[in-house]
Amino acid sequence: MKRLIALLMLMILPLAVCSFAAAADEEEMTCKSLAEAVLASAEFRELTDMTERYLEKYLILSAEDLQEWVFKRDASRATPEMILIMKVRESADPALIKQTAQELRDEQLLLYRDYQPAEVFKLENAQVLENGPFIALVVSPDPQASIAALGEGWK
Amino acid sequence: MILLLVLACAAASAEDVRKAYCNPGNPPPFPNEHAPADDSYFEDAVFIGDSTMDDVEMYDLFPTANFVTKVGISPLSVNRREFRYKGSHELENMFDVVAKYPHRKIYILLGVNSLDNKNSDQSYLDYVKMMETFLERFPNSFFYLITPTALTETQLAKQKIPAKRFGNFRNMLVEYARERQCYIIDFYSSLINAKGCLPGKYDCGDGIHPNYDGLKVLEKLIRTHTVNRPVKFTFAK
Repeated sequence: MKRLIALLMLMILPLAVCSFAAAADEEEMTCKSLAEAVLASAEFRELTDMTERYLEKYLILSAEDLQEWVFKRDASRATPEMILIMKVRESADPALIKQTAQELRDEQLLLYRDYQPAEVFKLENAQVLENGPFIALVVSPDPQASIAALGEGWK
Repeated sequence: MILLLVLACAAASAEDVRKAYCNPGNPPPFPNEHAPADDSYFEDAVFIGDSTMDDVEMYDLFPTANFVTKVGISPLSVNRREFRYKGSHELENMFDVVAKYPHRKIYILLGVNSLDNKNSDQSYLDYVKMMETFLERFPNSFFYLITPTALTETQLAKQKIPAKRFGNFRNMLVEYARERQCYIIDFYSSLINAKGCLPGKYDCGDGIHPNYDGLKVLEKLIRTHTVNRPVKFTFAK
């Protein structure tokens, strides 16, 4: 009997360790941690944190549809640089939220074509990316480095 | 008989000129300066404007106010269905959206996107046309007209715009405000240098938009030049 219990413990223990490790990995991936990784990947201009009201105004969505979000942009407007990372609630429609991010990017592209043509490449290289519940739009001075950083953060 | 008719018409015309709601104890166009008002004053204020006003919202300088802004708009844009009430997907004109917010105070910052391609006279006419509708739709609102800043010297030269165009526009706005009982927030005069241009220390980097420090000047101007509604005294019977 004692041997049977010991054997059972030996089988269950590794499973418990793995599940805790997985939970810990999931907890590490937050919008904030992803945004920090992206910010460190390139020499962004000073980015200002946008308020919930501004998020709702420009993405025409409710912050209640998001479990977590980070929205930073160059408030000076001299560049279109921004970091937008959202974690969508299960009850919300991720396709709709992805579409609003795409529309934001497209609108900015139209604006900057006339306003600051030299900055347009940042928007042309910006993509709306999705990974599980996360949706991200990064307009970066080094698009490749930032996408790579985001990919690393998502692993 | 003809003279009487002419006088009657003149009198009728004078009466037809719409004027804004104001406080006679704080006569337009320049509000008295005072200690900065706190956020409660702006709970029933709507801030209207172009990209510069959008920047004011982005920096959250007036967290209790409502904003109706759009990058690139001019006084001619206000009739277009390009604006949204918060949370709504429906596109409406500026006036209909403003009407949905508490609007006892209306702050307007427009003009730069006219002055970059029209002279001050034409830009002023567009502005007056816009104001006619505002004054008609919102007869019980204080109107604060914010004089737009000029561009940097480099940007003015690049776009071949004389600096005095912005100064002329500012002066015309002041006279309009005096006549129509609107209040002036003189952002233009607070920011420009001796050449009538946006100085480098207030340039965000594109030669057009004021930077954060420049917008903090605007915030201080607005907060220290507010007007309260006249107090009505009633006598006990």
